[in-house]
Amino acid sequence: MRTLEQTTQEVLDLAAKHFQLPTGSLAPGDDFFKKLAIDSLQTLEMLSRLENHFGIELPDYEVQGVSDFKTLAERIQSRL
Amino acid sequence: MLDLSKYQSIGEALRDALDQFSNEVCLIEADRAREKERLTYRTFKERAHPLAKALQDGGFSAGSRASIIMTNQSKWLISAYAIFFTGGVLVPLDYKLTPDEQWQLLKHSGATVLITEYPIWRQLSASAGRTAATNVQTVLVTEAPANADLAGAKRWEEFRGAGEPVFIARKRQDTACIVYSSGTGGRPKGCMMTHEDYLEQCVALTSLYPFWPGVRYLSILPTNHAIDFMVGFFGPFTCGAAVVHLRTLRPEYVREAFPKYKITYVSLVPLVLKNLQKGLQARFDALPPGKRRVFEFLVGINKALTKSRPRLGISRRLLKQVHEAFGGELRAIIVGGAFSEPQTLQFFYDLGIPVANG
Repeated sequence: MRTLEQTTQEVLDLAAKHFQLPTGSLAPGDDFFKKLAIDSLQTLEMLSRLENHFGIELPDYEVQGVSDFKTLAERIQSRL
Repeated sequence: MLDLSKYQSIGEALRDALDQFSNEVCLIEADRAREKERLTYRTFKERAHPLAKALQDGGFSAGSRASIIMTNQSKWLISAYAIFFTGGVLVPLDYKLTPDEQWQLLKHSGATVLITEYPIWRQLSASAGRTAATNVQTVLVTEAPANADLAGAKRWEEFRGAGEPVFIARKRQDTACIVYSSGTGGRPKGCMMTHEDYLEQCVALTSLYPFWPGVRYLSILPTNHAIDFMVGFFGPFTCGAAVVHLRTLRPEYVREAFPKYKITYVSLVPLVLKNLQKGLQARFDALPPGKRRVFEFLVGINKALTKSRPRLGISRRLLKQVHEAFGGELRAIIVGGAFSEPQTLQFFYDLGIPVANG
């Protein structure tokens, strides 16, 4: 079972890869809308990638209002 | 379609629609690839009446106000119907607001009943703003886990009254909904919408974009929004049509819904419309040169033949694959809420899919 730290790091790495940013350029507390300059649709696409990676389903309501990687990783962790 | 000129209120029109179209499908609810619900007008009534009775038993009466804070799903519409049936005023609030903002609006609206979903209630109940909205006396929460702490709320699924509720008549000039709009100044204001506003808007809308039994509307815009409330609830219901709800708005599932449910109408925000355009354009660009030339030739013919007005039959024959990707039944896309680029509207029109921009 992954720890929250491992999950957070994987979320950051996947987001960086998906949006073609250098590894290590994202931090857990970053607002992904601002940092990645993405809209709600692109966020949904990123969530689908994360679901496939972690093998979970993350209902839309679970991520409603979430805008930073740390909270997103916590929501993922709770479903692992 | 019901003759809405004969009706005084939303509740009265919906009440008759549920009887007139009792065997037609009115709601389909899907969660990703899974279909969760398929209700006829009869089963919709069977779900709504016990809720209406329980509201009445709790003292909810003509002019009482009830708020709904939910994502698009069948229980939104069932709850709204129960509120209208019992003569209440609906306060539809945006589930994307912060809990503090929602409590402020709940207090301002004077709602005595709140109907919401468990994930939303989890945040609302933990918010300090709750203490201010003392007017909210009954909270009904849908889909709460068995062992969930409901923080004083009741389970929507168990809030059922025995026996038939009494229909409460309202007049056209009575308030039907209080709709909060941020307007251009950013300070929310509650717009008092009368039953007549909705009845007349429905007549105007359905004269341009008719619904009938068998028509399927894909509900994507939030139902608290004026557009979806009309084209994703009141409009189709007064015509015996069906509304399709998706519990996720991931693009891949939205795309799948068109052919799977043979969608007739959908309303979107410009961002999603633009995304659809980009996806289609990428597919057209990927066509081999020969096929691309044939495709562009067919689009050219379609443009010439539909210059003065849409001709769905011709467009569907000429551009069969494009229309089949949308399920083959799509008649129009309704877009609103922000500015749409004319090129995007034209792009879809040239493919034989008119976009109602409002």
